[in-house]
Amino acid sequence: MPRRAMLRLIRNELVQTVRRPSFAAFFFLLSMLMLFQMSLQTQGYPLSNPIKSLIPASLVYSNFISALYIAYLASSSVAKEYEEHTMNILLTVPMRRSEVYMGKMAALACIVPMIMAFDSVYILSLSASFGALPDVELALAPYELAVSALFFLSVIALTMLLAVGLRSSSFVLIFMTIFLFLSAFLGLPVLATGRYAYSLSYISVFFMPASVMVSAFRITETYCMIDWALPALQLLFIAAVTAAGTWLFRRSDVWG
Amino acid sequence: MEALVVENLTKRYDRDDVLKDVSFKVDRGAFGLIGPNGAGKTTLIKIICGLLRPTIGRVFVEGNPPGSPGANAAIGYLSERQGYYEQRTPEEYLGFFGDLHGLGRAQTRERTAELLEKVGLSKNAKDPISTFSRGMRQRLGIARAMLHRPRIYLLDEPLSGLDPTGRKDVMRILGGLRQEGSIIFLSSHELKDMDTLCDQVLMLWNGKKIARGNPDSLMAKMRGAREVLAFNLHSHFPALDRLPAEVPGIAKFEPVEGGFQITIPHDPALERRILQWLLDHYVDFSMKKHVIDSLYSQILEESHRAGEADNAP
Repeated sequence: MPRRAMLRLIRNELVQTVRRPSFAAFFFLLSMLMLFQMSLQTQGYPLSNPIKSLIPASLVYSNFISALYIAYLASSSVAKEYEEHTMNILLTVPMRRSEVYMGKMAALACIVPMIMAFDSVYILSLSASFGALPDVELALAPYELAVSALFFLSVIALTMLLAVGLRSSSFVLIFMTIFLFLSAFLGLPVLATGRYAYSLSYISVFFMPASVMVSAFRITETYCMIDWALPALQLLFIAAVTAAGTWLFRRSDVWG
Repeated sequence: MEALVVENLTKRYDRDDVLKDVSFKVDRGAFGLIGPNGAGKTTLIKIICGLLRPTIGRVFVEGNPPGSPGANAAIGYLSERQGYYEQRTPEEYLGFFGDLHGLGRAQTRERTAELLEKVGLSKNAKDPISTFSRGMRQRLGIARAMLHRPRIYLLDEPLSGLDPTGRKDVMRILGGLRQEGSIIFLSSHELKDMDTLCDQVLMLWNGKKIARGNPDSLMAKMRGAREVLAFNLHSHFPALDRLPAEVPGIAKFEPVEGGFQITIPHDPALERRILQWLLDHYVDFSMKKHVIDSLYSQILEESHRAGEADNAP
């Protein structure tokens, strides 16, 4: 049962995040990107099957930007507190350190459904504009969204662990940007699970679980089946990294 | 139960002992922690707050281990390098911490208004903190520390960097807290900050406790001198050798790197005579008042001598 103070911290962190000018700018950028992609790719493309062309590119970009923005929020939430010497005050409120860490993480996790909702609205609006989504795609959608959400949670967990260790928002952001790019190009999660089709032409999308599905579908021309190994691995990763982050946060000295 | 118990505290950092076997108890009144920069004052306060973990030793805040919710509820902490959420207003800032301290919304609002009035920031309640001066920030920090009515205040250099008006304001607030029965534990590198407020002073030097007593007894150790004034002369010339004879009362008269230093105890008449002499001889000089290092070194020497005597067979 989470303590009340933790819930208050989550609320405060969430309100502060939503009030950031960058938060509105992020969703505006996401909308513009999707509209731009639509305008580029609708020309000359048969309306009978628009999903194949429209979803991968725009979702990949939006997922990548979302992942970077979430990494930025997570590094701000922790590393900036160290940099700006506000962490030492925050740690003298009557809460356990693990509660402060989990509270910050939970507040960031609340952003994930907002992004997922945004993506869903986008996919549904595509469907409404260009025709209905295939039944199989609709059936897989909740799974794809869940896997995407777990991916974003992985990014949050990893960024927070780095932020506690490095205590520099710039270093954390540089690391996460390189990591996300490398993941994109090396397709680490996909290779790790070894479950999905792999092709050089779609290598840039492999780190995005939702896109993986669509890419695999495009390459093999067969529909992906639900594979529980991927979310299971993601959950394991999130649990391990969160435990490591909490341990480090509880044990570390705050000198500044 | 003692409010604050520190037992054999040692903190090691990069193979250096930042604090060495420090022990003391505080149960009431105002307690000062004094020492030059790097003496270990901030480290000690941070350990009491639970921000740093001791290498050896134990600390209890009202019987609770430092950093625990129980200990944190009992303390109000002002950091030496206090950070603020710059874009928030004092109202939002105090509201945030009131929330985390478990004050209800109405109680937080009421307490915020009361404290902003008390620290003289009620007119700036809706201004972003980024526009605040150092003194205003310090007062806001004190208001934040007071928010949940803690029993113990841990204030790390609350007067540093403040102008005389700011110092006066902060001292007035701290005096009020003391009168209300709160325990104040504050650090400073100047003994003169302590003498009006503190009942007890603990002196640290290189992480070691070298003296403890009331401010007057520590000052008495300066052989009656409350302040020291040093004249740094930027060159030496033959006539200068006559100065000790012509102006009696000089405590130290010694060459230093790049010039010469004259040290005198606090004595306005003597100060005027030396100033006049230096001006008459067209000497290029600078003044440094309250050379507290002299006090530390003096007490340190005495403590070493006492240690040697204790260890003598």
